[in-house]
Amino acid sequence: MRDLAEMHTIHVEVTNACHLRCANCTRHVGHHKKPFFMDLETVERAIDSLEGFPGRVGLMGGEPFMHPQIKEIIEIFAKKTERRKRHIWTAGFKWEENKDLIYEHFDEDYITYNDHTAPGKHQPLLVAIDDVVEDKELADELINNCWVQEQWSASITPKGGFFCEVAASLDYLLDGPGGVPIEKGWWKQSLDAFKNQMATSCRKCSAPIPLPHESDGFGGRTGPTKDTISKSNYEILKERSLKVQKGNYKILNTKFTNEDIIKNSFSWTPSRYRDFISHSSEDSSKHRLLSPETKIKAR
Amino acid sequence: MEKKSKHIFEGKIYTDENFKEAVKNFSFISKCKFINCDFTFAYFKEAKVFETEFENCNFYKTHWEASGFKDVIFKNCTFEGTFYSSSKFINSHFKECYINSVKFRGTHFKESLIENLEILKSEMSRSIFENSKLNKITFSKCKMFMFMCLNANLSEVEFKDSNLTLSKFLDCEKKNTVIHETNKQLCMFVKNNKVGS
Repeated sequence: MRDLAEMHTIHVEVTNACHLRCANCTRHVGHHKKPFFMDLETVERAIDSLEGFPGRVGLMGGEPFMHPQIKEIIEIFAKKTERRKRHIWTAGFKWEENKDLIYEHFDEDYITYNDHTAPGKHQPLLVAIDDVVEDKELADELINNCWVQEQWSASITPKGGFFCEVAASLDYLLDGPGGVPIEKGWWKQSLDAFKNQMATSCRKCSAPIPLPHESDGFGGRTGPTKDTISKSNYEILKERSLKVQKGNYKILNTKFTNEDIIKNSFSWTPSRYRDFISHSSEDSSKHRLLSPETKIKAR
Repeated sequence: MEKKSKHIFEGKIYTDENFKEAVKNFSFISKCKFINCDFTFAYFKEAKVFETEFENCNFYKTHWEASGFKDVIFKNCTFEGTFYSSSKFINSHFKECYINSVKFRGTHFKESLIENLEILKSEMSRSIFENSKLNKITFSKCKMFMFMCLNANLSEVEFKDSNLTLSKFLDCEKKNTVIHETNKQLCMFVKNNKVGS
């Protein structure tokens, strides 16, 4: 794992609501009974807490444009961050309506657009590592070298600051202990400060396990999407997850040996599941198989 | 889509230049030569560097994350605490450099040559050496989780006290290359059609 100060981005996650319903979503969209919407005071405090952070401040969801106060949020970003220090991620919700506002405040290369209309792959994220990896020393190694923490970002949600964006979402889903207080410089703390979060989230997560990738289901446009989960997570989620209660899951009940892990790791490139990056709907159109207007069938 | 650089270095020779703490992210550097230059604590993130030579330069804690290097030579340079994560080197050459505690995490070396140096206490997890030559190199106390050598030529390479879990050596040519038992290698894959000694 790496220190947060080394990361290229720390996200401010303004909501975990999304109009799409991808399989194995990194924000566990579809599972939550009630999504969160960060209030404006917390958005300001989150950005202020990143003063001096050498990387970028990410405006992230869910889908940020599902937030009813997104215009005010973008104004806060514009007021408090340099243009080259901010980056927005969108799944394209009301793109035509919102794109002028986005272009006004973000450079094109710092707009990441993914409406999931092109074939997409996702890593299963709800397989508890201790349920499936036999060698406990190897399980620890996989966690300590998780690609999400080493290649993606940390994040801030209404529950605090987190060392990993997937851990932040899991904390919300599993009603975990929350993040560290959103105070100036929280991201300068050593990884020891996040041990509590790691203990709650990493053992319940499958990001670090070399597993076969699965289709994202075009964001739910082709029908209900199923998440792959393991037994111990099923026991927790059956009480609290809408997606599980609707039967949109499949159980992975396999024990992986070290040989299986080697074999699975050959074609495993989870941080490079898309071989293109889109900055707009127009960009995405070269790769898409479905129209972004296609009705989302999964609920 | 690529952002146009504000910092352009083109066709110049820089001698004894001080780039200490300079912030020059997204630089475009082409056909330059840097001799005895100091890049201590400088930011050159997401730079594009072409046909350039660095000689006797100091890269103490310099940030080169997510940069691209093509036809670049580093000779007799000092790298300590340097950040190269997620960078790509194509047809580039590291020669007789001092490399200590450098972050090469997720870095891709393609058709490159690394020779006569020790890589000490550095992070090389998920880095790839593809169609590259490693000659007289020692990797010592390095973190090399999911490190990969693909169709590489390893001559007199030594791996010691490093973590090689889930590393792979595929279709490599190896000569006088030793993976010591002091390495951590919970699972490792070696499949070399062209096995040397």
